[in-house]
This record gives sequence, C-alpha cells and structure tokens, in this order.
Amino acid sequence: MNALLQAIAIGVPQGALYGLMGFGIALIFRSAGTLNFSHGYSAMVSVLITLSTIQWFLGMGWLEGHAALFAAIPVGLISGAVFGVLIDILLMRRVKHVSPASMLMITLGLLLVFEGAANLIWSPDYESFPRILPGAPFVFQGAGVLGEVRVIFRRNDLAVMLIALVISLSMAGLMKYTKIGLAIRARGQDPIGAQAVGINTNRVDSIVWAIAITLAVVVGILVAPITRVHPTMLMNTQLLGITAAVLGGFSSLFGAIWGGLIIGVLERVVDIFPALDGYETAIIFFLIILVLVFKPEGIFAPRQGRKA
Amino acid sequence: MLEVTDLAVSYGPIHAVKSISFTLGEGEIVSIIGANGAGKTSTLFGIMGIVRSRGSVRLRGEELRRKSSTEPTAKGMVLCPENRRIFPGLTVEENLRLGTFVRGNFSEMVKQVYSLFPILRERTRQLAGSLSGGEQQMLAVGRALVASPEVLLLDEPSLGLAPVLVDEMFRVLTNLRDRMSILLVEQNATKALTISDRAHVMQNGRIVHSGEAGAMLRDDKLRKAYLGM
Amino acid sequence: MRRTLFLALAIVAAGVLAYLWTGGTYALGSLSLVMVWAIAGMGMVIIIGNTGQLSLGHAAFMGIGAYSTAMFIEWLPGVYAGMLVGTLVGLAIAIVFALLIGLPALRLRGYYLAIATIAFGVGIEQAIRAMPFPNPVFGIPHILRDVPAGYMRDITTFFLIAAIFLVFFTIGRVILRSPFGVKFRMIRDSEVAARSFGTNLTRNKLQAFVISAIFCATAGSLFAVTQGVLQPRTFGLIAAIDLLLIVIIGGAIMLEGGLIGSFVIVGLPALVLEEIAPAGSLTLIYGVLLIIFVVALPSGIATGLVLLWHRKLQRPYMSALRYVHRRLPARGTSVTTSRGAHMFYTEKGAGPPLLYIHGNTGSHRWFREVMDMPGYRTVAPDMVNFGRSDRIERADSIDLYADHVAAFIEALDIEPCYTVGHSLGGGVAMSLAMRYPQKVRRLVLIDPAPIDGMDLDDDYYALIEAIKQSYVGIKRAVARAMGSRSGDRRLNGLLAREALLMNEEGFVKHAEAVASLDLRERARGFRIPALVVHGGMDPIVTEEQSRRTAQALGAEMKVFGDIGHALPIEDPERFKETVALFDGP
Repeated sequence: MNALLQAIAIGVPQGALYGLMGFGIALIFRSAGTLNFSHGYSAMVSVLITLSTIQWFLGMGWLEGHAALFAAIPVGLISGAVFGVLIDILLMRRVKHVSPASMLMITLGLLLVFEGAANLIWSPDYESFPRILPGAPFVFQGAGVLGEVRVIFRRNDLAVMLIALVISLSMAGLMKYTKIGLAIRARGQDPIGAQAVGINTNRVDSIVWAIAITLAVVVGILVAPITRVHPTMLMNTQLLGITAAVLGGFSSLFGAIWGGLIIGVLERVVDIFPALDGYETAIIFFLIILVLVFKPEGIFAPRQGRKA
Repeated sequence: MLEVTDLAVSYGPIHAVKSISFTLGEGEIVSIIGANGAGKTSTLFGIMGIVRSRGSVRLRGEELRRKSSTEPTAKGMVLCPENRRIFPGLTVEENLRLGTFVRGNFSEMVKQVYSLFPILRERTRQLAGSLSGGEQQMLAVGRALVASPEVLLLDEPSLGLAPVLVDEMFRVLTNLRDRMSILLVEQNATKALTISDRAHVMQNGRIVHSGEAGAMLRDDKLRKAYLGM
Repeated sequence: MRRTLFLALAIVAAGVLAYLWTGGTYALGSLSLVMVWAIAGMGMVIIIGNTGQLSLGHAAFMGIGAYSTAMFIEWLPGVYAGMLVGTLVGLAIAIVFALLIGLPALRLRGYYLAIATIAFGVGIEQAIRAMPFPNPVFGIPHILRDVPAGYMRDITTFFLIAAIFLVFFTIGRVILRSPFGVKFRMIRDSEVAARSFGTNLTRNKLQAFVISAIFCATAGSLFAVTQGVLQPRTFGLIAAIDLLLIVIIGGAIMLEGGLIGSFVIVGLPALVLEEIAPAGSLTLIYGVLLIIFVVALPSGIATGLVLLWHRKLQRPYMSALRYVHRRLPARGTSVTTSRGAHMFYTEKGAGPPLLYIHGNTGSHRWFREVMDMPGYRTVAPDMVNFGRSDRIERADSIDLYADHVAAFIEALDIEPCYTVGHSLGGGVAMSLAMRYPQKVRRLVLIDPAPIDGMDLDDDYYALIEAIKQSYVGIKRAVARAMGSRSGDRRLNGLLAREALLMNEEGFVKHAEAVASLDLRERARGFRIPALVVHGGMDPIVTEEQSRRTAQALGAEMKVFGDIGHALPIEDPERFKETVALFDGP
C-alpha cells in the first residue's frame, strides 16, 4: 500500500510533464496536421540555450543563484517559440499539401538536426540543471487506516504540479474563451471552413507551433534537474508524451494530460513488481499498440462528434 | 462590385482554371454552372485567396491582395464553401461567432440569421456536428451572413439537400439580393438560372458560354450541350 | 538475373577498389556492413516503397535477429552452429512478432501505423535492455572471440555477406515482380482500388510486413556476426530513422535503393567521414539530407537515376535515332504548296483521287497497307509538322493543318477528292471539308478526333510530356494506337520512329488542339456525304464521342467491335472494303 502511494507521489508529477508534452504534440497534430517527432528535441536545444544563458549570467557576475535561472527561463521559452515558428514557416508550409508522410519524415529529419546541432554546438556530456524549488523532499509519515505510511514527495515536484496545473487551466481558458483559441479549434476541425470565415490558417499554424514548442520547453526545464541536460534528455519524455496523446486519442487536447498522468503513475506502479523492473517502458509501449488498435479514438473519447 | 480578370489557378502541372474573366454588379446574382471538376470551386478559392492564383480580383474597384482569405473577407467578400464546412465540434453559436472572425457585428447580425433560419435559434448550444444535413447547410449560410457580406460567394448551397429544402434555400437567397451581390456556383443549373440575372458556363477550366440567365434557360441547344438537360 | 549479375560485379569491383585504395581489409569490413544494412534497407523498400506502409519499427526486427544469434553463439558449442541456429531462431521470433504486431497494427493507417510501429520498436529495444544479457549495459561483447581475427576473416566475411545479399536481392526482385508485388503496389497506390480488385488488404499487407521483417532479422543476425559487439541502442529510435534514411535517400521503389542508401548512410561515415567530421555533425548532416530529400527529391537516388536516364540519356539516343531515320530512303516525292511548304507524299494507282490524312504522331506509313486500292489513285501525304514534310511554327491548330492539306490538294490538282481522315487527321479532314467543301467529295473518318473536343485532363498532358522524353514511351504510346496490331513489333518500331520525326511541340500541342476542338457550329448545314468508322476496342476515342461526331455531321456510322483505334493497320482488307463500299458501286 505504501509502495502504491509512493508510486502515485512520484508518478503524478512525472505524468503531468508527459501530459504537457502530449498536449503540445496533440495540439500540433490536431491543428497543423502532423505528428511532431522532433518535439522534445527542439525543446532540448532550448533547454541548452537556457542553461548557457544561466552560465553566462553567472559568469558575467550579473546575477546570482536562482535569479539567473529565473532570468534565463524567458530566454529559453522565447527560443522555443522561435523554433516553432521557424519549423512551420521554413518547412511545414512547403510540404503541407504533399502528404502526411512527408511532414512526419521531416520531423524525423529535424530530430536528427537538433540532436546533431546539440552535440556539435554544446557537447554530448551530461550537465546538471538547477531545480526551481531546491531543498529537501517532503516526507509524509504516520500510521493510519492503511497502516504504516511513509511517502516521499520531492520539493521540486510541487513546482512541477503547480506549473502544470496553471498551464492546463490557462490553455483550457485560451481554447475556450479567446478568439485565437476558437480559431485554433476551428482550423483543426475544418481548414477550408476556417479560411471561409477569414482565418489565416498559416498564421494559426505558426501560433500553434510556437505554443506547443514553448510548452515542451517548460517541460524540458522542469525535467532537466532529473534527467540532466544532454542531447537525448527528452527522448523518453517525448515518446511518452506521444503515448499520452494516443491515450487521450488526439481528438481531445486535454485527454493528453489525463493520459500523461496515467502513464506517469503506471510507470511507477510497474516498478513495484521486482520481476518487471526495467520493463516499464516496454510494457507501456505495448499497451499503446493495444489502445491504438482497439480504441484509436483514445480512452477518453466520451461520445462521437465531441472534439477538443 | 466584383471584377475578376484573367484568373488562373494551377495545382502543380494541373491547370484547374485557365484565365477566366467575369464581373458581378451591385445587387446582381450571377451563377457559374458546369459539371463536376469544371473548375468552379477552384475559381472561388482563387478569388478568396484560399489557393494561390494569378490574375486580378477587384472589389469596388480596389485590387484585393489574396495572400490569405483574411483580406478579401475583411473587405466584405464572404465565401460559403461547398460541403458546408462547418465546425462539427463547436456549438452552433461558436460557429456563428467565428463567422464574424474578421468582419461583422455578431450580436446584431446573429438576430437576422436566426430570423432567416429560426431552427438555428433552437440549436444554439448544440454541437454543429449533431445537426441534420439541412440544418448544417443553414448554419453554413448563416455563418457567411453574420459577416454582413457585400459580395457573397455561394458554392453549391443545394448539394445534398432534400427538394423541399432546396426550394427553401433558393427562396432565402432570392430575398438576400437587395442586400448583397451573390456569385452562385451550382450544379443544379435550372435552379441557379431561375434566380440569377446572368450566368457563365464553365468547362475544363474555361468559361465556354456566358449570357443572360433567362435566355440560357430557354436555349435548348445550350442546355443539351453543356448542362445535360 | 542480369541485374543480379551486374550488382555482383559492382560489389566485387567495389571490394577490390576499397582493398587497393586502403591497402588493407578494414574497408572490406565497412563494405560488409553496408551490405548488411542494405538487406534491411531492401526490407524497407518492400514495406515502405512498394506497399506504402510507413513502418518505423523494423529496427526492432534487426535487434531480434542480432540478439538471438549472439545468444546462441554464447550457448551452443561451436561458433558456426550458434550462428546458424541463432539466425534461424531469430527469424522465427521475428516472424512471430511480425504477425503479432502486424495483424493488429496494419489495420491502422498513416500516423497511427507510424506510432504503433515506433512504439513496437522502442518497446523491443527497452525490453532487450531489461533482459539479463551477459553485460547489461553493453549488451553482448565479443561474440566472435573464438574466430581468429585477421585479413582472411575480413575477406571471407565480405564474400559471404555479398552472397547472402545477392540471394536476398534476387528473392526481393522475384517477390516484387510476382503477383504479390503487384498487389503490394496496388495497396500503396490506392487501398480502395486494391480492394475493388479483390485484394485482401490485411493479408497482403501482412505478407509484405513479414517479408520485410525477415529481411531485417537476417540483417540483424549478420550484423551480430560481422560486428561482434551488440548494444541495445543500436536498434533503437535512431536505427529506425537510419532505416528510413536509407530508403528515402536511396530510393524506396527499387531494391537497389537499399544498397545506395546504405552506402550513403552506413558506408560513407565508416569509410571516410568519421575521421574528418566532428562529433554530431554527421547526425546533423543526415537530418538535413532527410529533409532535403523529402522536400526536393522524394523519389530518392535510385529512382532519380532512372528518371535521369530517361531525361538525359534517352534524349541523345532519340536525336540520333531521328537523325538516322530521317535520312533513310523513303519511297515518295515532295511537292511545294502555295503556302510555301514542302510536303512529302506517296501515291499509287490511277482513277479518282483518294486522300489519306494520318493521325497524331503519324505519317503516310500508317496507310502503307491500304495504298493498293483498285480503281483509285491513293495519295498519302505527311502533314506539315509530321514525317518528312516541313515543320511550321505553330502546332496548335487543326484548322491550320487543314489549310496546308487544302494547299496540297491544289498543288496536286486532285480536287475534289475522296478523303479519309484517321484520329487527329479526322479532325483535320472535318475542318477541311467544312471550310473547303469544293475540295472534298466524300468523307470517311476513322476513329476521328471528336467533333466537340476530348476531355483530356491535365494529368494527361503531363503523361504526354513524359512520353516524348523516351523512345520506349513513344513506342508504347504508338502501340496503344495500333489496337489489335500492337503486338507487331517491327511495325511498332517503324511507326515509333516515324513519330520521332514529328515536330516535338506537337506532343503536347496536338493533344491540346484535339481537346479544345469544337466544330459543331460549322457542322450546321454540312452537306458532304460522310461515314464515321469506329473501332469498338478503341482505348482513345469512345463510341459515344464518335456517335456525336456522326450525328453532328449527319454521317453514317459503322462500328467494328473487334477493332481498336487504327482500322487501316489492324485490318487493311476490311478498311478497303468499307471505303470502296461507301463510294457506291
């Protein structure tokens, strides 16, 4: 029982990150029509930019400690948005009409480009990254109806949870109540219809890419203290983000977030069984194939016709 | 009102529209008729800037930039596309609200749309995807009307509608003519000619015949040759 | 078989060159590796390029083959027994997995298939990582510790791998040319069409999936025995992308694409680039290459070469052929018309004149078997822009061709003549008879260009553009017009060479002219007795179109069900009979 609670305590924040990743991936998939396999990799470059900015601020002696981190984060986020817009304008716009497979292969090419560039400009080494909330973990201990309980909750995970929550809520608000949110949803549902009401779908696509990659950078900055910073730091997060989007069924954006939470917890729950140790990712991926085949609309698609 | 000169649309090596010209006067209804694949929809897309096109499109004498559909729409030319193209996952009201994305006063115009199509008022909160085919077509026309267009481009408004609804739709369109100019694209040539002032026949990307709608309706040879009637 | 032999020679030559150049057998090892990846690459050519299923999970089959082989080498006494058993067991496991994954996943399309296969690929990689192999981090080191290293090993390995590669190449070729391959490509091009042809989509996709899995698993086994060291990440996401790169860069349609792609992706780094390129730059370059190829050359190098062959090498060949053919003696004479054009023609017999007007890409030769027409003086000119007659500036006007024929009639003083027009020549004959009625006594139209034009779509023009680029294409097009006589290769060759003489602009312009033809206005009040003859098997003009032409002209109509587009060639006797009969006894 204790192990389960512990799995939840670690799994939920982790899953929230997968969910945010998946949200961005689903956003691009729904609106701009491609599955972005370079999602985490472009964010990884932005994390490297953030890290370099931190080191630069510290090196110049302008800022100290945490102030440098907080000053550098906007730089990283903006770089992510810029990457998103550039990918859309320079590449995706050209092949949008060719075929979905072309777009997918281009994102695979971008994956290599980002990884190669990171190796070349920075280095393949692992570097550490500061936590947003440093300090000792919280320990919840006591005896209750469930027996002896001792659950550890990492302090940084508090920041992770809060940020994920704030982002989810603000994204929900953006999608539901703003003009641009409405335009994004309209574009995803019927591009011709969107153009018929005067929406510039190219611009919407650029905005979607910018938002999605920026979200991925947020995820990158939040996981960096755990994975450390290196060219493949977000590979697993990205794959599990895609998985989360699959669980959410792509049709509902926020399904991806729930999907992420499930995967995050599942990953830790599998860990509880010693025989399955090491197989958690493999098991999740095989589950995904099952979901794809038997419920391709996602496990959260409540009824037909309901879309983001 | 609208002046189209040497409009040409190509998709790679395929020339869908091969340099056509026509005009649309104030308060006029002009139809473009022709078989499937004659280039009618491509013509509308070219005028609206939805696909890239060559040639000139002038609205009230002013040349339109057609980089995207935004400027033509904002200037008062609104497209009601073929196959309805409504947003199935949004509510009826959200669909109509999007109609005023770049132009039009939503709260004022939506009342007019509801009075034209009262059934939509009852469905305000319903998802557009759950409407019947006829209701969806009304929503599509309504979505174009909330932008209070000066030129309305209508692509196959009768497609897939029951005969009763087709009549109803054309009755509504006739009533609109004193408020806007209408460019009507139709496969149902008889219907289109009945309510139009003038018409153009398209074939293979070219206008092969133009004339007054009434005269064309009476011209048996023409009807046989182009319209298969 | 010829391609296999050619490939074998190329591989041996590459091996010898590599040996001479580097002076050692290290390069042979790299070439072996290239062929190993090429085998997997051919698997991808089958599943991606020929069946159209974008699988990103095939690296996992390589992993299965590799680890199975390595494990059996560990377990069994004797390296070679281990290799053999391990490879076979690996194949068996791969087939089982291919069926298990393929059966459900191939129901998915596009992105969903890509996601499912990538999930499978990464899942297998993670599973291999988690399994208790001898060295958990690096997988299996030193598989071949019992086999003495040295140049003999490099050379034997090279030839062994080359042989296996060629075997798989041949198998792949046989499969792709068999009915299986046809079905695969049908699925790629249109699932709807494939289904309507009675293809069992799931079964055929699964066949392609299993076949490609066998290729990949074999490649994995060979990878294990040539490399001697295994790491699970070798078969992870990056390997999946590498496989994709191989087919995209090499070309996904032809099996050779696997080898070319593998040489670029695996060979170049191993042979040259790794020493000069800084870490990471290769990944970067390949990423850029993948993007460039997808955007600019989606057909890949192998197919690109074929296209290049047609565009760049066929043209000089065609020019040479044209040069020679034009200078070959032809029976006939030339006349200069009042329009200033030299027009070539042949004639035979005496009596009332019978004029033959040939069709598109044609010449007087199309009538050579009907020149002998008792009671008539038959005259068959090459129209301007065709055959041995002069080229004129425009090739887009049927009327202009008719004007030149009118001038020809004047020059020979054969007015009024009994006129036969075939195909495009039928359009010319109509225009002639309408605008110069005094010149035409009677009119017979053989599968004529329809009086109200022909709905050619623009794809068709693109096709015509392509045809004029290659002699083979022209030959095929001519054969199509030859109907039931298309199997006559000598005649086909002759008429194709005649087609080469045509003004090249005509390939496109004539089709456009026929497409936009509309003589219905002029047909009003048409008085000349006319007959439209239609071949029921005509693939170019439909019976409906011929009927419309006949109706507009007030002409009689005759349909021969067993004839295609070209009665004068397909059945000369029946042609003569029909023409003579129409003139009345």
